[in-house]
Amino acid sequence: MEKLYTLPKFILLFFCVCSFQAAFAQGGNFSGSLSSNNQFFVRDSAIGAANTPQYDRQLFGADAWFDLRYQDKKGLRAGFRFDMFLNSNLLNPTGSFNGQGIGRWFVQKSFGPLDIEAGYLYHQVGSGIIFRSYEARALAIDNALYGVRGTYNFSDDLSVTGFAGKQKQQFDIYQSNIRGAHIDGYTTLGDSTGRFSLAPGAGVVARTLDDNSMNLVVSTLNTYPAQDTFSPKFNTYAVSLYNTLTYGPFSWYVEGAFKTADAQTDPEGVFERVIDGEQVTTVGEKIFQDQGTVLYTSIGYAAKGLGLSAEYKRTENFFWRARPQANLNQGFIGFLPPMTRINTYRLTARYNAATQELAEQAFQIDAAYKINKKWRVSGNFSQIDLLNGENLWREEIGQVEYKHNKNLQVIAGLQSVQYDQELYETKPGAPTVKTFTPFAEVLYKFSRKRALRTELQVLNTDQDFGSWIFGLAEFTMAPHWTFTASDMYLFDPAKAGDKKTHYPRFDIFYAWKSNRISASYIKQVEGVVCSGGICRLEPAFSGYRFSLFAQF
Amino acid sequence: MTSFFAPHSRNQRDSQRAFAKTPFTRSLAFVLAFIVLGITACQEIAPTLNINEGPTGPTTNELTDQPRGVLVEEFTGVRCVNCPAGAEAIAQLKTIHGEQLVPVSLHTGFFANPYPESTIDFRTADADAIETFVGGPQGYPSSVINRNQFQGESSLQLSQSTWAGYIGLQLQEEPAVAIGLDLSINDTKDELTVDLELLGRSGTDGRNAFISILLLENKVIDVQLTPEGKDLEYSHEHVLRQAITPAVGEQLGEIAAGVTIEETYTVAIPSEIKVDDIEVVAYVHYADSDEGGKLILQAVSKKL
Repeated sequence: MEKLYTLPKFILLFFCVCSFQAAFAQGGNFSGSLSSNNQFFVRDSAIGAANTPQYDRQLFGADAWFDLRYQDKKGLRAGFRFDMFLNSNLLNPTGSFNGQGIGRWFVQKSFGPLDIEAGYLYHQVGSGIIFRSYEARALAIDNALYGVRGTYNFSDDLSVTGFAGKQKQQFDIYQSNIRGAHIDGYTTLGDSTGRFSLAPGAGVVARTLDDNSMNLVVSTLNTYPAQDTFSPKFNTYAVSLYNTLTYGPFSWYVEGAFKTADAQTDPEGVFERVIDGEQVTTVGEKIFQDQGTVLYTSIGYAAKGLGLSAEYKRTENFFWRARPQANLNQGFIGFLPPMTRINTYRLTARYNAATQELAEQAFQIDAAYKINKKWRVSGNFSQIDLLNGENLWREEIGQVEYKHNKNLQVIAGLQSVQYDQELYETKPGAPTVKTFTPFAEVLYKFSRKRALRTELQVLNTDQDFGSWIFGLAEFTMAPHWTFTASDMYLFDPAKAGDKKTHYPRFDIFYAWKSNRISASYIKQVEGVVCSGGICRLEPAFSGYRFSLFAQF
Repeated sequence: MTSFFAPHSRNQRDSQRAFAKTPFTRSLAFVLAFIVLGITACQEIAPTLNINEGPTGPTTNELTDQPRGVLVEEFTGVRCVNCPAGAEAIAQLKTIHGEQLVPVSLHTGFFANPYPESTIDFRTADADAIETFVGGPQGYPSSVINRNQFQGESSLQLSQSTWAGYIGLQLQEEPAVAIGLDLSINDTKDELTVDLELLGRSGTDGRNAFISILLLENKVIDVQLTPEGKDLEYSHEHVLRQAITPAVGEQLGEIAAGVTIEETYTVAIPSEIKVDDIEVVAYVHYADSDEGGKLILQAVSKKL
């Protein structure tokens, strides 16, 4: 098994020596950052902060990432990242993950039209539907491609890229091979006004399944009724064509992707078996093989004071991962764009729609209009359905921003959400959650350096936990100090036996230059955290959190 | 009507003609050709399926011929709404693999907290000790299969979609140790005697082996959360009620090839356990802290 942290020391030493030599000889520069979260767990079984290793015996957990990068004036870039996870529940909300070592290294060099890179690569084809390797720390996603990449730039407006490697899996790698190529262009078709442009592209990504993963598929199929078996494929190809058309204030992006047949997992597969002469139907996780497609398009208009955008996406059987058995947030090769607005308030962000890989049809419309210097209005509507028309998600949100003067600013709005908790949180039998949430924010500046920001939200629902109210006060003493106190209060529990419960939180932030330290006391209800349509269960938390972010 | 894309001037027409001759179109043609060839030109040889329609392992009692047993430690809980589907999947696999499949249900974690309507608290310190030993699950239901650290998996805990496959792969191996298991009960039916015979087949290759023996109960009727709500009459199967040895094993030492070890264990049967539904599971395993160090070498089960 290959381990990142067993990277031969001499390679690291060589890399460091070369980097320092190059830095001093060629006038290069180093930059870096340290991001660290340290948590002290205080058991509170009343809110569900219990029965995990952290609460039961470990009591402390920490995650940290130290990033060091070098860049010289001749096109050489290199870097490495030290990752540390101590009793971490990032990867597994109910478990404890430990590991530390080199989480990433890379060397990149540009010379003439050629750009080459080796190591752990972050890269994307089009909008990422057929390939996107990236890092999302809050979701414990780091699916860097451990391999090589080469890009040849025919001109500023035309490039061809090829890449190959294996996908990272924490401090290990998946054994499947991944390779791909894409071509990207840009043209104005001779339009001298600069108002019209096209940015077309095409890409292909292929995955060859490793023997172990294939053996697992075969071994699973051997237990299936004959009619549910199929001849699994080692090689799967995904292709996409995409283009961005810009005309003045309009922009239109469209991408179509197709994936050849490969083994995928249906969490609600149906088995028909004859047992003791009787036909028995069962539902459970089932591997099937089919082709996949995605169509994604977005159109935007941005003019003075007015912004409009609309998006549409249709997904069918696009489970596209390093291995068919990968689950949760593991092994993503591609990235399916989310179709919901990113909400920032605590209660308007309580319910999120995770992107569905097997069947989804979604659209959203977003509009914002600045009426004058004092007033601005905005709204968003999004809807997500299964391909059979069954609704999974619907959100309507509108807000008004009023700027009385430079010292007083008010935001107020309403949100309505319909959320299929049964599907999104895999809770069989859970009813659809319907919420209605008014919210408001007031920012008052006492002086150039003193400001108070307050938030109030009330989430009304008869489902899930019930209705919540959230209040927050944040006092800022620029440029260094910020003090925050908030409480999320379950004032109308929906479940019999549940009690009205407070979830208070207190934070102190100290910032200087681009560095920040924070100390927090937190009681937090369990929830779902999403980024880019990818979500993870955030378990209930009770305890203290100390964070550091430093950059140089 | 003039098309939006139609050139409006001679300059634009010239530009479009020039565009058609740029490296862009040539490269695009190359990439498209690559795509088409990549998809259509490479024929692969598909793996062979061997559909398993029922138990195939020999039923002999001879330790020299004993087939590989696969221990499935299923982590579950009465509040876990998805767990009945997991239990059903294991029951289905049991019909396929027969005695070679050795399931144990471990009620641990938040989902195992009993309901007010529960008559039995399935949680045990032994189940918690096993969970601590193998590592907690990412979600429920989750199973550990032969405590094998499978390649590509981040922990011993496995999601339901992989159970059938990994069980099938483990069944193809030869056991390093064979286990003979005999059960007897005293006249007052409150004491169980377990006679154990171990035979080193390929042996433990110099490593220390451990034995774990668990007392299970089947057909325990009690509350379980299901997709249809709380089922007060749910039949819980293979429930760990008590470990007869220390929960994480009792050290045996090395078991060389050809060596036989005999042991006898006696345990008082708790009054709340129905004697007729008792099942005993025994497995030989490693208990090292390194990767792959907890592997189950062989597992068997027997009902009274």
